[in-house]
Amino acid sequence: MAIKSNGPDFDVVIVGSGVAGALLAHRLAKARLHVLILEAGDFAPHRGIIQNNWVTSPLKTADSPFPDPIVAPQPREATGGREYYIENIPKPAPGDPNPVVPFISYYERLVGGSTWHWQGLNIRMLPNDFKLKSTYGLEQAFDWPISYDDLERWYCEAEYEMGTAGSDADAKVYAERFKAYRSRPFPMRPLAPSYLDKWFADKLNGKVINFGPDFPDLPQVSLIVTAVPHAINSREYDDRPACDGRGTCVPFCPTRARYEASVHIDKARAAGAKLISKAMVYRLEAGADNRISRVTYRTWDRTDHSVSGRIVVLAANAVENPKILLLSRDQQHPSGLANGSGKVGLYLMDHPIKSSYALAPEPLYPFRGPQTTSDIGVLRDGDFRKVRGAFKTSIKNDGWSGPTAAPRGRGFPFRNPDGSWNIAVPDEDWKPAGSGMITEVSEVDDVGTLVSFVNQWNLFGTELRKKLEFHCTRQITLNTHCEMLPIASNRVGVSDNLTDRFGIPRPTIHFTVDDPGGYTRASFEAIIQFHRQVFAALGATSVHLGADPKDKGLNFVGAGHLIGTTLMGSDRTTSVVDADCRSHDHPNLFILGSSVFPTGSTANPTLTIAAIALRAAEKIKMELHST
Amino acid sequence: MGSDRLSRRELLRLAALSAGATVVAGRAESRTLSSEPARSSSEHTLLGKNRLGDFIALSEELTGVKPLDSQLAAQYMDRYVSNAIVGPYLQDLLDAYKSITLLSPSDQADAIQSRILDPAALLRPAAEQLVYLWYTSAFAIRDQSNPNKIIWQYGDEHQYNNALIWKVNHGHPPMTTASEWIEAPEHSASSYH
Repeated sequence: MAIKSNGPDFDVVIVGSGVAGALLAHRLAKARLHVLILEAGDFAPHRGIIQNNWVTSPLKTADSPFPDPIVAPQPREATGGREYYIENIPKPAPGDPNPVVPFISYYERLVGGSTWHWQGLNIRMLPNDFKLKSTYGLEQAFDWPISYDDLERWYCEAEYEMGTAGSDADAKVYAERFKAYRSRPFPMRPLAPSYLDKWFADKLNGKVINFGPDFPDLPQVSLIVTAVPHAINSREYDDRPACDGRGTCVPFCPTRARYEASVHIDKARAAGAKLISKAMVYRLEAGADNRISRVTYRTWDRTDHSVSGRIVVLAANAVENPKILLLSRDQQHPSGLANGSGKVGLYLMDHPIKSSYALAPEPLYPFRGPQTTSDIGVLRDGDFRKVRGAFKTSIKNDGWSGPTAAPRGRGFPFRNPDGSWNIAVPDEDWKPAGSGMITEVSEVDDVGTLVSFVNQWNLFGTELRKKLEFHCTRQITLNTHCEMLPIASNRVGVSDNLTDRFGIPRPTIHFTVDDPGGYTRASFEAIIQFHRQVFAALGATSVHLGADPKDKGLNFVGAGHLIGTTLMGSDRTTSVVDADCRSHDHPNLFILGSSVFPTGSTANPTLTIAAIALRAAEKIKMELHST
Repeated sequence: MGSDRLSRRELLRLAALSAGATVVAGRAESRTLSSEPARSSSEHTLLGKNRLGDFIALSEELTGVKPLDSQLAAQYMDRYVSNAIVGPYLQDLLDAYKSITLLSPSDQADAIQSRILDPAALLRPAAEQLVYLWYTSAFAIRDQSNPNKIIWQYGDEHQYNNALIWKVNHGHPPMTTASEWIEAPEHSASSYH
C-alpha cells in the first residue's frame, strides 16, 4: 500500500479515544500542546440512531447499538468474538479443572471507545489492591509500583472530571474497613437506592454471614449494603442531565446522564486537539535512539499514513495495545516494541462474574432504574486473599435479564435425551463456559421468561399474564465479580496469517480463568456460599446458584474488563512500563489503560484508568513544557 | 379438509418457523426489521377490517390482556401477514378461531386448547408468535443455523414502547422512556386482577 505524505509533527500523538485517551487529550490540549488523537473507528451517529439500532436489534447485546458501519473490526458478542479473536480452544480433557476457554469480554472501537456501553460504576481500588503480593505473600501476584496514596489525588480529579455520584457516608465504611480514605467528597450525592435495594438493606444490614467449616479462612462477616459510586449524574452536572432511569446504562444512555469519553473528546477538540477517525494504528517505528519516530495507521480507504510525535501514547486497550506493539517488530526489536522484558501481551485478566438468582418473597419491582444502585463490598479485602480472590457483589435492578434474558427470553427450550428440559443453546461442538445460560430446567419457575412460560410450560391467557406479573416483580439477581491472578500463559498475540477486513493481523488469545493454585476457583466457591447465605437471609425461593462441579471447568460471565498485557512495574525485566506508564525501552512512549494494571482487584477498572491517565498527563505536560 | 391441505400445513409447521434470520459472522446482528404498511389502521389492513375483529379477540384470548389497542392490532396483523416466515399461518389461525367461536360457549375453551394450544396442534407455533408479538412487539424466529436460538424480529419504536411486557412487569420500556425506581410503582397491585 502506498504511503501518503506525512502529516505535521505533533507534540503528542494519542492512539485511542476511550476514557484514557480522551482525558489525556483534554488535559494536554488545555495546556496548549499540539495533540493528535488517532481513533480506529468512526464517530458515533446521532443518539436517536443509536437508540433505534438497539430498539430494533434482535439480540440486544452490549454492542447492539454499534453496528459495523460505525466501528472498526472488533470482537462481536453475537458470535463470541470469533470473527476477531483467534483462539485455539480444544475440547477440555476429562477432569481438567482449568481448561482453555473463550475470552468472553468485548469492546467498542469507535470515537469514545467502550464508554459508549459501560455501566458507569466508578469505583476506586483499595490500598491493599496495590500490594497484593507483599501483603498476602502471593508469589503469583505483583505489587504495583504506585500506591493508593500516589493515586488518591488523581482519583479525586477523575471523579470530578467525569462527574461521580457517591455516598460520603458509605465511603467512610470503606475508609474504616479498608483504609480507602478520601481527601475530597463526591461531586454529587449518590443515585438513589432502588425500592429493591432498600428491601435488601432492611433484611441484610448487620446480618452476620457464617461461611461454615469448609471456609476456615473466611471470617464471619457482618453485611452492609452500600451505594455504588457511579459516573452517572444524580443532578445536572457538566451540562449533562440527571439520570431519569432509562434502565440501559449498558449498552447506551440516551440522555448523557452517564459519562462517556466523548464528553472529553469534545472538550479536547474545542481546546485545539485534532482527531482523525477511521485511523487504525498498526505499527510504531523506533529510531536508533530507541525513541518512537513514526506512528503508522491505515484509514478505511485502505491507505497507509504516518505521523510523528514528540510523545506517543498508546491508549487503546488490553488487546489493541499489545497488538500494536507486537506488530511493530523489526530487526532491532524482533519481539516487538517495548518488549525488552518479553512480557508484552502476557497476563491477560478479566473480572469473572458469578451470577445467582432467585425469587423474592414479595414484589420488589425490578426492571426499573439504573441496572445497579447498591452493592455489598465487605469481602473486597481480607486475609482470605492469601488463598482465594476477593469479590464484590452487585444487587441487580434488572431481574433475571442477565442469567436468563428475562423477561423476554433467549432461546427455545428443548428436551434432553432423558426427557428433561434444557434451554442451553447447543454449540456446534462444545458449549463454552461462561455463556451465562442455565443448562437444565425442571420447574415452571426456573427460567422466568415469556418464551419459557409459553413454549415450554404451555401458559396462555390469564394464566400466562398472572405468571409473568408474579415473576417479573419478584426476580432478584446477585452478580459477583472477583479478582483473578496474573497468569503468564493468559496472553494476547497476533496472527501470522489471519487479518481483519482491512488487512491488519487479528489478535490471538489464549485464556484460562483459573491459575494452577486454584485461586479463582476458591473464590467462586466462596461466592456461591455467600449467595446461598444471602438468599437464605432474604427468604428467597426458586434459588439458582451458579455453582461449579469440582472436576470440571468453571462457569462464569465476562465483565468486559480487559486487564493486563502491558504491565506496570519497577523492574524492567518483568514489566513493560514504569510507574508513570512510560515504556522501559522507549523514553517517549507511554501506555495507558487497564493494560498496565499488574493485578485486577475487585474495582471496575474505568476510574483507575482515568486516574492514571490524569497522572500521566501531568508528567507528559511537565516534560514537554520543560523541553 | 383434504390431505393436500394438511401436507401444506405440516410443511409450514416444519419449515416456516425455523427458517428465520441467521446471525452472520462478521456482523453484529442481522437486523430483520419487518415494517408494516405505513397506513395500517383499524380501517385499513391487508386482511380487511372484518378479520381485525377476529385478530383482536384471539389476541385477547391468548395474551390474557383485554382490551387490546385496535390501532396497534391493525399494525400487528399487517406485520404478521406480511412476514415471510410467519405470515402463511395467520389465515389458518384466524379461520380456526372463527370456527371455534361458532361453537357453543361451553365447548370453546376445549376447542381452543385442542385445535390451537395443544403442543401437537399444527397451529400452536402460530399462536405462540401472536403472544410473543403482543408481549414484546417482536416475532421469535428460530435461528436457521441454530434451531434453539431465537432471532427476535422487532417493529418500530412505537410498538416496542407499547409491548405488554412493560405493563405486566410494572416496569417501563428500557432506554426509550424514563422510570421511577425509588418507590414501589404507583399502581403496584395488579391492574388486571
